[in-house]
Amino acid sequence: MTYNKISPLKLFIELRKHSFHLTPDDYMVFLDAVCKGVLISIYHEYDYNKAVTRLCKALWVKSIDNATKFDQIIETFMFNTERGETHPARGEDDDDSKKSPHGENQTGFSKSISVTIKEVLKKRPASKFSPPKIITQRYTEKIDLLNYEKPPEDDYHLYFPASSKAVFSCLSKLVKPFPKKRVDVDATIQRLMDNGGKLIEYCYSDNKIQQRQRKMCMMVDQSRSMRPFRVYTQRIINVAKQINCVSKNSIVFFENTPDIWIYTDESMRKEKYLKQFLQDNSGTKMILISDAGYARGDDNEYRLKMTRSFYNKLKAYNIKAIWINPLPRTRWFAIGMIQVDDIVPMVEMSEPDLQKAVRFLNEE
Amino acid sequence: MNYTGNQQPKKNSIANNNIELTPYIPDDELVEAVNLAITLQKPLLVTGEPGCGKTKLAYDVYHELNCYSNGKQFQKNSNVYIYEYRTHSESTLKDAIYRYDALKRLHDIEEANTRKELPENDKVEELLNRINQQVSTLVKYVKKNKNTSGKKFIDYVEELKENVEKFKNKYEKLDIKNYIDMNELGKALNKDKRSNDSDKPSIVLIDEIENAPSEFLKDLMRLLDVGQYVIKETGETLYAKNLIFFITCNEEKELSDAFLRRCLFFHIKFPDDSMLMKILKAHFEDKYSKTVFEKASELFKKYRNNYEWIKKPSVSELKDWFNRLKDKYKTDEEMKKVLTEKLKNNLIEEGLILCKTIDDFKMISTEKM
Repeated sequence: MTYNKISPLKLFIELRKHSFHLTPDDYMVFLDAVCKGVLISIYHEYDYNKAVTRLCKALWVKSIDNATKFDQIIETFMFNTERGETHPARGEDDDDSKKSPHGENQTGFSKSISVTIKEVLKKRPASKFSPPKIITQRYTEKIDLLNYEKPPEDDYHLYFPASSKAVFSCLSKLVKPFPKKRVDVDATIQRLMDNGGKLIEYCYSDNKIQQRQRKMCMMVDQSRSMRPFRVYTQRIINVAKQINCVSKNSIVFFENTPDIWIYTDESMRKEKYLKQFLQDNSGTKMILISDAGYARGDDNEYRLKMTRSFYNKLKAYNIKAIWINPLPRTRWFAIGMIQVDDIVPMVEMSEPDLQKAVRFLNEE
Repeated sequence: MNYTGNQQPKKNSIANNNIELTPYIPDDELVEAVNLAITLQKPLLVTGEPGCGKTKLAYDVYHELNCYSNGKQFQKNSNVYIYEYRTHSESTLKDAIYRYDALKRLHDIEEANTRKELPENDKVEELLNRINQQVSTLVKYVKKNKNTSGKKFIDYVEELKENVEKFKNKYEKLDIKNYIDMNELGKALNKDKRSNDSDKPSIVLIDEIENAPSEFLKDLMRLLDVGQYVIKETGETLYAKNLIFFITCNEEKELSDAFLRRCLFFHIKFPDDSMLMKILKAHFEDKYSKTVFEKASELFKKYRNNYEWIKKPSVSELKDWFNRLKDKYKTDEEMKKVLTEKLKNNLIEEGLILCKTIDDFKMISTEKM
């Protein structure tokens, strides 16, 4: 195995690709640290690569979520660096002749599979969201070991569910900022007169506007396959409540596919007609959180049919919906279920995808 | 100047702000982060669950920099100081730096006016005219009586001096500078711009920053960027030179990216078994054997992991718990026996001391004691 030194600049670029909010100043701080002899004085016990990564971690990681993310990225990055391979930048041309991350190890079988799947993907109608083009060799190899069908390389990427801070910054773009409170002079004078000349509280004139801001609803899958992702779904619900983009009544729960009944509580005891719910929220935007059966690999026609009919209902009530899937995109292809993505625009729960979802919902 | 984390304070030693110094065992990554913060002169933002030792870290760094240099103890303590400021929901950076007591000054002026100690504004001119007259008379007197003894002359000058001094003192007492009290952060800032790097640093601890309003953070960012602060009332400039900032946060609030960008970040994790043992050993070394510390840390970790705590017991609870056991079982043998027995039979020993919420209290009360 050849030993290559990692390039801090490449690592910096790689981290930026994975939603690390790093600025050129951060890179300058790294250079400053190196100039001040930090690598020699503090990290002298480690080899070069480890010293650089530890220094980068100390300087560039600013939250606990990012620390875990950094470790995962660095694992893949180091692996590729030690093999003398570089990550192709996101957005580079998808050229078949380009050398694959497998290099010489790629077998004829996997090549042929990759070509067939690419052909299938070319035939299917274009999805509204193009998957991010980040290739990581480790993932590809792992999936090969599990005997999955090998999907095209471009569809592999590291998946990090968005942190609550990232969810907050994304969802807050859904809510227009509240207009400044204006004092309703007439109403205040009237109240002053009613209270015998004592001013207890001003009257404001923006109550109606505030209510209008909140027109959004959320449907959350509570089936058993969704249990492992409860932390993430709860994160989105909490943030949505916190920024006031959904009211308490406009969050409902369902099992597998929304049929006739939906539930207004998490324990699914209080039922409500789906039709009633859609009527109440007609003309609004909707966030749907479900794994679409991907977690179990539940690939059945009935479910697809139900999803299609539900989507028609949404269309009928003029509801613009986005589907957030807590599973990584790689898993959608691994099971071979991409149909639901064609019916309703679907995103994974990573920060870049959530941003896309918000842009989609905000489109007029 | 670097921090090793190996120097523990002697018993009953105190910091310059009278806070007792206790042993502290940092892990390697934390030591690296502190040294990086010292080298790059950047604030270190420390997060972690309550009781994990965020505040103690700053005091440990203070102790080591004050008493040791590269592992060797100084004969005399060097002049390193620590300044701790605890934020609250109404904190402003101005409050953290200084407090101008306008009310007291107003009161003093009023009082001086009522006692007629101060001449009123229109009388100031009259007073100055009188002084001028006195001076001109003096000059004439000197010219006329060149040969007389100097006694009268000296008395006259003394009287004049006294009048001027009285006048000056009354006004100086009411000078605005006398009504500015420096707070902790203000004491840490330098009045002299030309402080050398060789000067001893001061350690500034801004505790529980999650309580502070966003304006405080914005002003603090400005101070960190510009490195100076101007006192509005006097126009005096203070310089943030040679300061090591420690900022602690309890994870309750997410800080803005702009603020995080200016800091180095470190999250203190709950220590592993060997670290737990080291911590116990550092605090209670003289009393018990190694086996006791091993068993105690194992038992504590078991309590922490096996129950669904609302507030998980942290390192500070470990110390309280062990202190309780120490009071109960005085000898090494007794302690060893109890810990082994409890560990073997999955029983809780003095678990109530670990409870910080009612739910935790109920949970532990129902378990076998």
